[in-house]
Amino acid sequence: MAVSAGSRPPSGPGDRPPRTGGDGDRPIDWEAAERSPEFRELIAARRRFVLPATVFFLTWYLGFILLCGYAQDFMGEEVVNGLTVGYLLALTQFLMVLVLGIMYLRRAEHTYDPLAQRAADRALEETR
Amino acid sequence: MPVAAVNLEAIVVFVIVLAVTLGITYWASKRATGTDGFWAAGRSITGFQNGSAIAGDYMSAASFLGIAGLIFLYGFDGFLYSVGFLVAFLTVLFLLAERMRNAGKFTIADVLAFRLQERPARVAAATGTLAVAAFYLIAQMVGAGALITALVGIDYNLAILLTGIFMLTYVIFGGMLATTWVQIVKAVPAHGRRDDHVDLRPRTASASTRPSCSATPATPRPRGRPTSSPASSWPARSTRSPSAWRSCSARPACRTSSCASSRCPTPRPPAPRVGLSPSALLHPDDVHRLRRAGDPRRGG
Repeated sequence: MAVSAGSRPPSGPGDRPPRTGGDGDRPIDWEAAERSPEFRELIAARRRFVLPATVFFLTWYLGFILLCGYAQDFMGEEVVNGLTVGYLLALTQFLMVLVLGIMYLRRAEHTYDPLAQRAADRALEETR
Repeated sequence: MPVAAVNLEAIVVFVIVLAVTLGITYWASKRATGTDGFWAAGRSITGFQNGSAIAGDYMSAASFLGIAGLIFLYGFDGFLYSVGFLVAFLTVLFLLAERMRNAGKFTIADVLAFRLQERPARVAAATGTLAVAAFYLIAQMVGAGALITALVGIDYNLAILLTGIFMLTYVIFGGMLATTWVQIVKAVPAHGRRDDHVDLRPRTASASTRPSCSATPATPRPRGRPTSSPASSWPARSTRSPSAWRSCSARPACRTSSCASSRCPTPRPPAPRVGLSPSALLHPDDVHRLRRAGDPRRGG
């Protein structure tokens, strides 16, 4: 279906998102779900990685930027043939993004998603 | 802006690219039905496809002309921009992406409106979005206009006008499906020849536990459940548990395109899903993750 210009997307009769937290007859008890051990475990597992990783990459990146701004002599030192410390550190940023990204994806695949599924299943059981 | 002599070869290439992308848009416009289809390509975009599209997105005028020019003019200082762009992905990945997906929203404004007071949140989000998009688009269109002027030899203003018209055409008529595939088409030549670039099957062990689309043909609606409940309108979710959805055909994702192929849509669509409207029973911390909890319930 061609969509005409407009700020709102088209919504057919079967396309409207539900209006309540539950499916109409039995609303989900979000607070209970939030307290469930499965959900707590998911949050804890995620934080165990995401928090230190975020602190690390922000430190590493901001440190790099600060060095670029205020330690120009150090950054301009030559390591080998025209390759300066600055470029070397810049390359470590690329490496860092690659490594941290892959680490996160692996954890998401093997840990977070199964945990999220368990938390979801638990929340459903409690509602039934 | 110097106008080059009209270059026939460049025009032919330009027209071919336009024809291909407009063809994609036409193809997508027939499939982009409904909110989910328009905004999230019916959740049919796989991880690899989306990755290619994002890669195509970044092979833009800003990267090819802007960053190259900055490095040319300012050396290492210009290079810092590309480092910053890349590192920013980690912020999105760690802090935003999964939450956006689990909240089942389409835009940042949707998420903010879901958690906060709707009107002020939407106004603030719209202001931010429009400001960023305006400056980003100005840079992109200046770059595109300069490039088209240099290559094809048409007037700069006309080039910018054409760029804007085609951008709007892709987005308005084709929605997310067209824009994604246009970006993929853009990215693939830059990847070089890649015969395996369409092999999108997840290669992890958990893939085997996923319900298979090929066994059960796609049905227009999930079967065996009350149609009066809003369950049928619930969009695709990336369930990992076959028990949550008896078969793939029960997954609304299969209503859309990709079950025609022999593959399931990948269970981790990067785009966020349609979600719930604000509910009174929200815990302030991380409750959006519970959108997922609501999900299978609608399914089962």
